[in-house]
Amino acid sequence: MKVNKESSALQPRALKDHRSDILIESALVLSTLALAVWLAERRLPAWSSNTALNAAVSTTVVLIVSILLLGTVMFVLKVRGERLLRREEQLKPAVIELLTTIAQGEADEIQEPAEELARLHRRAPRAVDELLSESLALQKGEGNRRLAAAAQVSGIASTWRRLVRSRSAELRCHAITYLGRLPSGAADEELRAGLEDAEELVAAEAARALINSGRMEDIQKVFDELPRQSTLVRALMSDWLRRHSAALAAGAISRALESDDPARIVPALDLLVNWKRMLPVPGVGPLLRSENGAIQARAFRALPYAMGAAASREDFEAGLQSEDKEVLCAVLSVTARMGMTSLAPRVANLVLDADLNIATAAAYALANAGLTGELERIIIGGAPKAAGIATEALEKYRIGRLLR
Amino acid sequence: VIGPSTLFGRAFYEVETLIIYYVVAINLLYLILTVIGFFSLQRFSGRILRAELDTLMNSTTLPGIDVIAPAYNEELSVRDSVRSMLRLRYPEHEVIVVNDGSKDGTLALLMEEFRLYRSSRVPLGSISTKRVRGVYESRDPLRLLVIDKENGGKADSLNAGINYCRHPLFAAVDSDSLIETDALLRIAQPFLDDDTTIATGGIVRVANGCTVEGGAVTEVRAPGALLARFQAVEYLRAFLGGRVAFSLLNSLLLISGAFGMFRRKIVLEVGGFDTSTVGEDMELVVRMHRHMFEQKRSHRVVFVPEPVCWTEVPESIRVLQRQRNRWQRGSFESLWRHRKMFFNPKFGMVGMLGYPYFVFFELLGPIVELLGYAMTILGLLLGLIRKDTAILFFVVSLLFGLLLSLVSVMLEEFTLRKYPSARDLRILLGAAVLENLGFRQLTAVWRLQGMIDELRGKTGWGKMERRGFKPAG
Repeated sequence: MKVNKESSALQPRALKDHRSDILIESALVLSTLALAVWLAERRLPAWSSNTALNAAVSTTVVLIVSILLLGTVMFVLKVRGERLLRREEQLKPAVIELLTTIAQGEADEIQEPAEELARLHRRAPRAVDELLSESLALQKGEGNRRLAAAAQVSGIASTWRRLVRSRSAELRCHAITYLGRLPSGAADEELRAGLEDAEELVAAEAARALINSGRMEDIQKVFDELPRQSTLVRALMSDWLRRHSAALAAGAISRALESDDPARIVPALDLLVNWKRMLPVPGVGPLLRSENGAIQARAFRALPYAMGAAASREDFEAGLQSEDKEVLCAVLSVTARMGMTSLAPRVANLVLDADLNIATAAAYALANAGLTGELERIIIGGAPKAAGIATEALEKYRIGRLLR
Repeated sequence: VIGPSTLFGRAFYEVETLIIYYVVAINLLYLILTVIGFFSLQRFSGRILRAELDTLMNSTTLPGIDVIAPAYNEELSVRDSVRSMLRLRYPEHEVIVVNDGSKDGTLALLMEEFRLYRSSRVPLGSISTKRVRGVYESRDPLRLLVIDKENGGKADSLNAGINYCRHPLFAAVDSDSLIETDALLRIAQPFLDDDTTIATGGIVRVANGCTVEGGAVTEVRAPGALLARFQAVEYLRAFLGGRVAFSLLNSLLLISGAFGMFRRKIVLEVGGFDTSTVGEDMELVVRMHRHMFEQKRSHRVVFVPEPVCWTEVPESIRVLQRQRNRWQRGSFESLWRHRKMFFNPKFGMVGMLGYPYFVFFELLGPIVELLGYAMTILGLLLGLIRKDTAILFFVVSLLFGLLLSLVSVMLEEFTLRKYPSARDLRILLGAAVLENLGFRQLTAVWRLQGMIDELRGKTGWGKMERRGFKPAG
């Protein structure tokens, strides 16, 4: 199987680099301070005949004024925050009651309760946003539809849409979470755009919402985005995609495995390994002979979960002769599971390898296959390093039994 | 001969002026770092939600991590620390405790508490260390390895731990520290984002005064002892200001020895921690930078501005003096060994910014500060300085320090808000004021003493005493 060794056109997402923004903002603050010091230097009387000391005094005066201002702002914000929190706590029962009324359809028309909701939202925006979004997640069917209508009529949904364009990543993340709970189709555009967000956790949140929508085209879009995500977000998405594993395996994953693009193949194989579910992906078989080490290693690791993937003894033998350490270790990690006990002599040979990582992987492969006789032969064989590694693997095998 | 208009008097005046400029420069630099730190913290969005953490716990995508904790005479706190490390939430991690020839009951306590048996585990690394007497693992299903070795110091213990590591990343941890349960995931994040990350560190907090239950900080409080309060403010200033800013500018030279994460492959390439220095944490980071620059490999050393680790700080003057003396000697040794990097553009921002900052402000800081005080007093006595000028100098230098300490506490309140009660905030603000009236000057004396000791060839860590963490109830 020939696979393009060059990196694909799909490059990993460049994580938002805030450095320039931070430096510009810092420079602005510091320039303002410098200007203030210069003004103070001109306005304040000379405290000493030493010019350096005078400059130091002016700087100190400016800093004292700045700190006092900062302290006042801190105090005001803290008091304001506490007041807002108290008000929110007071309003929460009323909001919950109103949302229950809306969800149960007790009001004749949506207009009036929606206006009341908008009024409460103006007084305690965060509490209403959170409670409405939680209610949307909890309510299914008609209740969900009525709550969504209230969110639209009250203008709260529009506020969420505006927040998606906020400068604050935290606000964008919240907005995506809220919009993701609206019924399918209500905010698809924003969610799809969110998938492209430079802030990885916002993109992850959008992916979660799209996956939860259950629409295969959006799930496919999330899958297509996988290669561009960081390892962390990929790990999250992988878990969220798990419940669509069968559909993905039959469609998107199989297509990715048949492509010649490593950037698509690698995440697809990672998904199979991470899910640990038996899935019909025969496309894994040919990748065992890939010329790309990263793909070949992953293909071997995914093999125990790939139904219909043809793997021959020759594939394993070729894998065990690979000069790529990653491939060798991957082959060793699955030989026992794939019942390749006939490869024992070759694996036992690898316990003598100069690379201790390979030797250890080989010894554990023998232990996992229950080939204690091979390990004992190595122990009495005389090579001290190999004997040590074999003893360790044998001990683990025996203690593993004891623990069971 | 000594009058203000004589040659001596004029020279005296010039030196005094230089010192004032230095005081202004160092404080302005701290201010710049704090402002950059503030905006960085505002932008920091690495906080992973708890629900997402649960999701990640089952992932096989994340690289495994070894947590190495050297322990020397730690019987008072080792049980809590190991429990805390075992409870860390990460898909795949193993705790490696290295008993560095303790003379107390550290090993016996570990053997009993964790039902250890003698294991046949083989070291895969080959860094040379003092003789390993035995390796132990737990009979219980715990990912715990205890290495018992002859005493060789912290760096030697860490090297022994690295030899036994089986994962691509390792965290070096002080066994008297308490780690936040999701710290591994948070501090590993830069490694997951970028393959060129070689080391990361996070915010270390003062645990004195906090309530500890089952190896975890359950209630965050400001320390009770004055000395610990001063250090709490110092830690805020160093971590929230300096390190955040240096990380942003790609010139971070120091990852705290209390908790740092490293890429094992690179650490093995550079030969592990240096056992001949008392500042092994800083020395390793500087050496890794140097190695990567010399090999023209792009790399990053990142500071994660999240609280990840709690440490017990000294509450006795004697112990604190020894600690500061050691830190100063460690910095001096690290900088001297890698002096080739000083203002050398070949070493990027590290050579042009991080390294010179350490030399001019961290290393020479105490010398200049004390020289300033001494010259002012001398000038007064000799009639070279007017009384009001001397008072002004003292007031200005005190106010500068005070203002920076206050800003650090405010920075904490504006961003991380780890201290929930207003009372604790008041305590810290009070400590920020008092810290400048004696404590700061005292640490400058200890640091100067450290420099002198280093030049006289003094080695060793000195004895550290632990009180143990404050239990719940």
